Amino acid sequence: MSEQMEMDELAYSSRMVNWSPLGKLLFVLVLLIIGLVTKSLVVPLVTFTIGIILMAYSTNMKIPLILALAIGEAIIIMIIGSGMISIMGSADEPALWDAKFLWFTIHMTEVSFNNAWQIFVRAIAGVTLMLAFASSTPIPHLAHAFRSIHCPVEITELIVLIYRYAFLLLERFLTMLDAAQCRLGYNGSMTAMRSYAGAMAGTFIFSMELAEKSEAALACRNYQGYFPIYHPPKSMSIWWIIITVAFGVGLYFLGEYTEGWINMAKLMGPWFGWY
Amino acid sequence: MTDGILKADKVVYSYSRKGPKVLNEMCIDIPKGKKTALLGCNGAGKSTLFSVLNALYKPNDGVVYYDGKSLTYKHKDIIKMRTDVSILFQNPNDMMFKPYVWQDVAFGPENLKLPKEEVQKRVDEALFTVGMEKYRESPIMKLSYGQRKRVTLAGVLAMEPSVLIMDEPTAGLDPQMAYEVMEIAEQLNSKGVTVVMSSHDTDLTYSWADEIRVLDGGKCMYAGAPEPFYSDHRMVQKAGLMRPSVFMMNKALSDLGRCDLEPFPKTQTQLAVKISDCADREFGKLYIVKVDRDVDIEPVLESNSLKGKSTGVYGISTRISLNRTGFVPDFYYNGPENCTMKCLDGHDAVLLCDPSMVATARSSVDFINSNGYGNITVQEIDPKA
Amino acid sequence: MDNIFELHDVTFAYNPRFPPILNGFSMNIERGVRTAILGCNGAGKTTFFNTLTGVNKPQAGEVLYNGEQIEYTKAGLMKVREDVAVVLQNPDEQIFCSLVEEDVAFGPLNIGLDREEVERRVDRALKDVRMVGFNRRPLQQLSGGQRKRVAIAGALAMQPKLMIMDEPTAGLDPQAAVEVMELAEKMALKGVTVLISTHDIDLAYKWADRSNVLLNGKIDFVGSSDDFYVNAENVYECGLLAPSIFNTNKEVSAIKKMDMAPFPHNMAEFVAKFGASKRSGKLCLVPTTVEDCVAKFEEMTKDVKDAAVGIYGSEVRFELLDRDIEFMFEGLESCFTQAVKGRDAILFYDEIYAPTIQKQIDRIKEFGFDLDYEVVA
Repeated sequence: MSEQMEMDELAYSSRMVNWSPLGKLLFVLVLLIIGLVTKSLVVPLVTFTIGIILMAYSTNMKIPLILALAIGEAIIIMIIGSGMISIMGSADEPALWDAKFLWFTIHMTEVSFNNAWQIFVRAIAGVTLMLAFASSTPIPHLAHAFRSIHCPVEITELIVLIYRYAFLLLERFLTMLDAAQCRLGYNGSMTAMRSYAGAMAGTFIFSMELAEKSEAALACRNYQGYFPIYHPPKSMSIWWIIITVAFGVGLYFLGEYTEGWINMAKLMGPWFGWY
Repeated sequence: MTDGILKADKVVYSYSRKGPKVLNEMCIDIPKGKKTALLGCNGAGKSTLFSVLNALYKPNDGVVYYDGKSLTYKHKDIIKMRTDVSILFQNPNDMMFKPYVWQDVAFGPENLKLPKEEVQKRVDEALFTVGMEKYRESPIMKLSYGQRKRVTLAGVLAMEPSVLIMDEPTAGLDPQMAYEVMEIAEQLNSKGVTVVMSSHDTDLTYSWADEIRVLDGGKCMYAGAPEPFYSDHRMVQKAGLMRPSVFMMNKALSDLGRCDLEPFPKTQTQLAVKISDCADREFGKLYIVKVDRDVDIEPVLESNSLKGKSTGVYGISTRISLNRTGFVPDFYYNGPENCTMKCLDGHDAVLLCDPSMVATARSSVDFINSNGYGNITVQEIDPKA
Repeated sequence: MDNIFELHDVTFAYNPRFPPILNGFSMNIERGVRTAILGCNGAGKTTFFNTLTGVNKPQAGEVLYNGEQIEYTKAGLMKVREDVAVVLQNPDEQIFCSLVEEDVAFGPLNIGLDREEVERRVDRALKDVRMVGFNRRPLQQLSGGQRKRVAIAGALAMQPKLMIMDEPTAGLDPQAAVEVMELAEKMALKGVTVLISTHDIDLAYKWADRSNVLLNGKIDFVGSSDDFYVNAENVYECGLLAPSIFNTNKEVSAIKKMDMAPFPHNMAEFVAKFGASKRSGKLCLVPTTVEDCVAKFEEMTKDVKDAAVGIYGSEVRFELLDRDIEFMFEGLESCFTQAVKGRDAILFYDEIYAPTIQKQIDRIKEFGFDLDYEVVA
């Protein structure tokens, strides 16, 4: 089964699937923004924890391989990125670690180290929050949510159709690659490239033909220009706004209060022999 | 289990870790040089089995053997196997890679790294076999479903495999085209190619196959001759299938005492003769003329005083010759059966036959003669002799 | 003649530079008649269906629905499409939603029905195709045959007056194919005009009352299947072959010097014509409902020895699926065949199929066989 199918299955079997998609989106975005706005490290740690809890609840503690891989990949990228930031500190400040690596000057200061940590934690908080959202909201629900805030119909329907056809086309593409293999399409790298190109062209042609036939079929089924949802998820109630505002304000003040509480450089200093 | 050219031993396969086992300790063998039909309802695992036998998918457990040796899944070995074993997928759109017909048919032979002249020769031959030579330069997008199916068959034929696996080759084809596909399969087998076909059409496979393999729930529930399987209604029902109509009619009439159960007729003609009690009538004579692609038909008929008799055709080289000379036969489809029927009716008939297909062409007549249902004289004529 | 659709001299081409697909095409579809459309690949069947639903507007000629010309406005087309449902050969071309129940509800929701009505129809439709419990399954996970059944359910939920099925049994295994045809029969009995296009000649021969054969954008033949297949040359020109039972009948009749007519359409009739025993077996015909079928089954099969037992109809079959029944899927044909052969038989069927059973009884009589039957109320 392709990864896309797994994500889709995941979203539909999530416990949070019937929560209002707009509400979820609002909540997640506000938490993200607050984490970016405050200077304290505590807030993104808190939002990260909230993200993990939501993900665990949504997937019923069974985090599938694909999600774990996505998180793992994100963490690795963050580590590399943050690592780069941490070693490029301002030259006017005293260095915790000074070194030269090939043509590169490593100048790690307390400020740069803390900055790096802040960025890292904010980033993984963002990842977990967005994944909690994605793993519990199938795309049609999202499109329905956009429609309810009067996003142009063409865009939302386009999203749903792309989503639906992406599966079919992917299926077709993979089957064509299998067929190429059977006709020795992988016998050499030039041949393999030609097979790939052929499969892509074939999938494209298939999509055109499918489009034509689907247009006729949609017309026959009295398509009115939008896809009605049979069991619409709940629309955003006032409670979402209340909870989101409450969390947002609460976290903001928490940020103000705990600013400077965690100084990663000083915390980790003894391990590295700084200070 | 006898050793066939392709064998699966306790193969287990599922598409995803938590998913159901599509192949569940499947043990199956495909006999070499024979025509085998793979039957089973949707979800029994037919297409998956083909993909596993062709090393497209590696089984989670169990071993796949090709020609007595287990598959190593090394690139070189797989390539070697795929030069011998070809699959024809059910949906032709899954198999088309190039914009023009001749390019797509050439795809396989080019990948075999054959010289250009050889590739072109194979493309021409293959297109002729499936009757699409006029569409050589045509873009594939313009072709109908049936035409595309024929082009993909040509693509597979151009690889000249020794084992041909076909997944529902007649699905979606109109009856005439379906018949042509079956004739091609028959012709390939007469040249020694092992042909395996999966189908729902029990009528079609009954008259064609030497042996059947029935899949159910990821296992092979029956392997062998078709009749014992179809005689057990519980097995047939469990497998999700229906019994072929010729078989049912034979059984019905034998239960009534109108005839013996055996020998089992495989075609309508054989059935009709068996139940008709006509052993003492006047029969016509059947002339089988071996027509190679470069034989001119009219002069041959003249010189053997066969003009004016009903004519039927059978086999690829005959059709090529037909095309070339413009001769129009009485029976374009189902030549052997129609000619046999004519003889039963008391008239002579001429069957223009591909030299390699004579044995198959005679099968109904031989059935009638050897079981005493009638006595049709057969004369084989070789224009080149 | 009460025609639900009339096409007069319709000409349609997708692209004016190329020859038209439908060329002076005239045809009437009679209300309530089981109609088969036959023709080789490329004869124009799909274009024809699209013309019926108003997707293709002909360049010449007129299309009448219920005696009135189709108005190619939004309202006019909706009027036609509320009543005409099409099930295409490839379900992926007409399934658009992510979940099963959403797709089945798509049609009814589009025509503005209220929630309870839509729910009722969706449940009923899924029950008819035996996909109960699949409501919340994403369509990507279903196999081809299951998707086809979802497509059929989507058409059923529209409660159409004309149901068009393009190759309804293609891609389905034989038992699923039997169920689809039973469904088509049920719809026909409920007054729906069912139009089936198929390459399965034997299927069309058994089922259809009237056959229309397309050739090169025109109707080549309209009438009973028997009249069509008698003309062998025409059959060949149309790209078709005669059904196996027709051929066997022709051959055996020729050998035995019998008349080809009456033409047997299924095995029971074939055996009645050529091999009937002197004495008919006793045929018990038992109409059932969901509630009483198990009880009736137990009672009727209690004392029988060596009687054939068969089932016709998905509701009774569903209730008795786990029993050991000889003719679970071929009940109608097989029980009648066994009776003609002199063996006793019991046929359990959904009561809605009573007219179908009666039709078979009448047909057997046409072959001069005195069938000993009893309808057990």
